Amino acid sequence: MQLEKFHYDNRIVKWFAYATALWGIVGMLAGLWAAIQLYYPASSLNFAPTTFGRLRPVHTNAIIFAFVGNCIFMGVYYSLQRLCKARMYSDLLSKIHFWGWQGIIAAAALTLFLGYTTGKEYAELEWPIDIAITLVWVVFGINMFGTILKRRERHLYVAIWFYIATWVTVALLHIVNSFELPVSWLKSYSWYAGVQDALVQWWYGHNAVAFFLTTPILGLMYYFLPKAANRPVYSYRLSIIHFWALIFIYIWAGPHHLLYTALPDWAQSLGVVFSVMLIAPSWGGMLNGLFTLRGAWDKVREDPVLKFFVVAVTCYGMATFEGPMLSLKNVNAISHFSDWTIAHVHIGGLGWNGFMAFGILYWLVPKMWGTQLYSKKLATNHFWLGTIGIVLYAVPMYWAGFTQAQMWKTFTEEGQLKFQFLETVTHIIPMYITRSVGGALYLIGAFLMVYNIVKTIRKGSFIANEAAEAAPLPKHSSEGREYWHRRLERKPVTMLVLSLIVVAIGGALEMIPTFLVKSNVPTIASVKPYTPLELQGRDIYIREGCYVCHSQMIRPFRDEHARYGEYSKAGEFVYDHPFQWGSKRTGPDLARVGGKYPDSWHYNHMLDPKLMSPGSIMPPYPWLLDNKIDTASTPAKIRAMQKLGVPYPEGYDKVANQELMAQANAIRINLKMDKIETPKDAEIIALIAYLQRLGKDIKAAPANQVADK
Amino acid sequence: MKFIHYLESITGISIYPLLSFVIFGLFFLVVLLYVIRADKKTMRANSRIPLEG
Repeated sequence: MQLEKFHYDNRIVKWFAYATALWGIVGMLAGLWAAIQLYYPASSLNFAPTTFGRLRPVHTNAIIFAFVGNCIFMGVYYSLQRLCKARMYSDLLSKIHFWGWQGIIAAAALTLFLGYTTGKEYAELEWPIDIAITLVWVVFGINMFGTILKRRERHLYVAIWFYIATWVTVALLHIVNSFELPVSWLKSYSWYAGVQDALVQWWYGHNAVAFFLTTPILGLMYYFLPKAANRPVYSYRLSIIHFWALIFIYIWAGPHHLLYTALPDWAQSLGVVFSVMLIAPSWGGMLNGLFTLRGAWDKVREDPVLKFFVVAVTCYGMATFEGPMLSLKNVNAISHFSDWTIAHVHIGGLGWNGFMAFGILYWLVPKMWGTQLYSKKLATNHFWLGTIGIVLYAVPMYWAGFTQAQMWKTFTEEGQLKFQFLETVTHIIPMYITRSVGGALYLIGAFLMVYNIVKTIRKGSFIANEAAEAAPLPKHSSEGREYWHRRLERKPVTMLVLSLIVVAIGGALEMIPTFLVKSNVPTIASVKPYTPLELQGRDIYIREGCYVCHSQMIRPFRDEHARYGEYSKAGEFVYDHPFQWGSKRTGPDLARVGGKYPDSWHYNHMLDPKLMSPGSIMPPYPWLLDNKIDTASTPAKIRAMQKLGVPYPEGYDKVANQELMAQANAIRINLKMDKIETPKDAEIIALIAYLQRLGKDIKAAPANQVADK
Repeated sequence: MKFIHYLESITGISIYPLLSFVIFGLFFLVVLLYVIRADKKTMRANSRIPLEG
């Protein structure tokens, strides 16, 4: 048959490679800065955009969507063309995809720094950006499927299945979790409330890890690892099982982020069972990767690319062993809300995602510039710096997490809590310092890589269009009887639909009961909607990212009961759009902080936390004392809440500001009695109103009513 | 546009985890069966695709 000549598009791969390196450095810098703030709070510069609550979402979003995102696209655009023996479907779509994604990243960074956030972790971006993400994702999808449909290789290699599953599942997750009601251009409320919001959010959050940080990278592993080692994957059979089992099971495991919370018990158990099962396909994949190198370990000694891949896959194995372990309730009781989780995700982030990205970059750049890597030695040094960095990062965090959790739970012989919350924080500060040293080493390694790559690029000459040739696919072929899966492997659209069904089963079975069955979200009669002032205060709480360090979820443990009060009930959160349970306690839980301190305490604490609790690592929020409450937005916010089902009386939006001012004035007078002069429309007043409301409703309820729920 | 709870309560919620488990089990068996019966030559050819390009 006549061979067709065509060219692979390397230019788009080059752009995504540059973006990967750039955003990687930016994201890591943000992470290091945030890490330093934990022991040196003054490094927040007393500037609202760079306080921890806003910097941390910038870090997580930059690493996940900018660094790893661009790395995924870089790898997919390179490997997909070769695996399909076809140029990308459309150069224009590639371009739109690239610039669209970079635009989203820039908009994300800007809005997060300015405090525009939905308050849902890893889904913080506001609704216009959410829509842009959807559009760009569709462009990516069309481009990918267009390429697959015009391919010259009949069989879809396993890496492509992972890409397809990634595409369809991320689309599903993003759309379902981003249901929100816009209030203004850059403000929206989550469509879901409380327990439902939490369930959807962690179904999303967990699967963002699964289908953004794991499946696409596994696809890349199945392509680049065999390429770099120059030998086929250890077992293609295993890769098929790996794929189906992984995408099927992953989607169920979300509730393990909500163990011991107010989520119904059966949903928690379901999450645990599937999380434990998840270890099988994950380790299947890891072993498949490592065994690919059987008989080639001498190459690993020579080749920095393989070194990076080996540690990456090993870290994947460690993280996916730890994940199921952390989802066991007795382990989770210790790890949750502590730095243990931070250690766990950084084994994945630094080890698996980072090292895969570095390995691929080191392999791709010389290939696309038709030259050798500038310095293997430098790359090896990067490898060692990175590896030591990971160890220095993770070990102190595990230590800190375990130590702090134990301190939280320690009682004296008299039955009193042994440690104040602040003592448990100051105790682990040396760990925070060590961690940032580890992070800094890792970052220095990344700078070495950039230098090495720049030098390599200077040395070679870029091959923008790489010539290739392949026979076209025959239109009709009859090979007689074949297995259903074999047929399936040739049908990308069927593959897409099947992947969607597989992930949708898990999602639906997990969520439908919580949405349809009333008894799963019990209501408590004494729980009332927030007043307009409290609602404004809550939005300030969200804007400043307080949920990044403070949980609002008291678990039913003796120590939490003693420290924070009555454990949290599902019915308490029915008006919380979005929920603010949090996932980390760098500061104490706030679920029942209402009424615990006088208004003046909060005022002084926001002015400078060290005034009220010496040694505190919380940054000061002096701008809250000067900023004015945005009362113009109150009616729209009330109307939005009404649309979402919050029972404010008809026409309440018209009188809301009047009530807001009345409540604000009461707080102003209260503060004045403590010799604090402040205008009644200062933001601090709204925040105090919100904080003083937290957890109070339930105290007004008759005891038997609460106990029943 | 709010989420309405159509059912007051649900009986036999324990069927949910069980059902999930069975669905996955069956699905897994089918994949396993296919993989075991798959043709060795095809598998080898497929695994070499990245090395050709």
